Amino acid sequence: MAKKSRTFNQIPLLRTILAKKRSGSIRYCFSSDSSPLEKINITSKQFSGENITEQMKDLLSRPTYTCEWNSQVQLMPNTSIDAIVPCLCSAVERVVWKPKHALALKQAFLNMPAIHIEAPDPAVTYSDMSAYIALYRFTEKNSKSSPKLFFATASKKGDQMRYLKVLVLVYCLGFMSIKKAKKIKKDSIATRVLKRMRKI
Amino acid sequence: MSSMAYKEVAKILITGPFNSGKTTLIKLISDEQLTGNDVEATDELAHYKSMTTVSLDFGVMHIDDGLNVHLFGTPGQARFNFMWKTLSQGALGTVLLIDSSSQKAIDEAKEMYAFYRNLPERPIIIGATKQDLPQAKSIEHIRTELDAEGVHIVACNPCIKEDAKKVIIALLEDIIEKESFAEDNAFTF
Repeated sequence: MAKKSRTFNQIPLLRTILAKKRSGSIRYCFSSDSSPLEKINITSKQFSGENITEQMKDLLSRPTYTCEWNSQVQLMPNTSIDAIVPCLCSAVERVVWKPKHALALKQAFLNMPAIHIEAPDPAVTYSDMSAYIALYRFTEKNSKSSPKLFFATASKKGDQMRYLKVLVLVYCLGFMSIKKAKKIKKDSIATRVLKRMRKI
Repeated sequence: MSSMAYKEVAKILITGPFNSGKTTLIKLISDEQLTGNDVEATDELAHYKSMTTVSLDFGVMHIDDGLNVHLFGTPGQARFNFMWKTLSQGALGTVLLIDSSSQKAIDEAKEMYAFYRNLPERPIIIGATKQDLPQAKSIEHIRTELDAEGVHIVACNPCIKEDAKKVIIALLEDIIEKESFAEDNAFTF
């Protein structure tokens, strides 16, 4: 069977779970491994495995070639998974990317259009808050606040990695969105049906 | 020029083996039910249910001035499986209803689940009916039998409007989640 190409697809999947505050599991297999799929479960009450921070660090650190997400049976809205935020912060602080992996991740951000970042949340216990605030202020001040221009503001070489990490963090937390010209967003068909169903 | 206003039409498929509650669910949540020809069951299934659906169940929900939803219920007998592919075209998603009290129904649902699960971009949700009966199999049993990890299975009584709504709402939430996931993937990694 032909191998799929390497991706960092696990990062958008992690974002989906965290940003939507839904329980879920990500099954993944790293591109360099021949091992079977590993799984990380993220729920409101517990995480699989002994050390969620280590698992998340591992999840963030390497490209995968097989990666899928399952939402679990959880119809309760507003599932609280805030407990995982400190683990994510710690994982991002401790993650070490190989240069080629860091470059691939950076490239993904370089391709993004202008972005909007939400103000730092007290629940975010990230140690490098100065990078977060720099990013936040940058996007607030500039209408063309693309990650590419943000990286260009780095004055020291080490700042590139700090900026990459904080971008990964806010992305995973769902604090990053694409800056769009203000227009009224039209509901999708499913959303219109859902609104109607809730009324009857 | 015609004065008739153009309306968008969406489709939701209600499927499932014989006697799982498809007709009841469609009747309960439709604003109009246009067909649904119940006739006396004449085959070996008559032992279980006196009336059964021939052709299709078809209901219409009026969502707003510009949108109707068509609910298509497939006949439950396996001999009508040639219709699955045609009916599924253009559907937003599928509700698979299963009579939890019947292992035969669960077995029959396996083939249906395998077919609808593999339709790209069309979420599926399972409604486990008759969970109140003493011989009803558990949700986990159904999940294992169908190999349906990661798919919502909702216990429901299609005779109760709130339960019928719950199943459709769960499907719509899945559809919206997948839509928003697709939006999130505007960030390509």
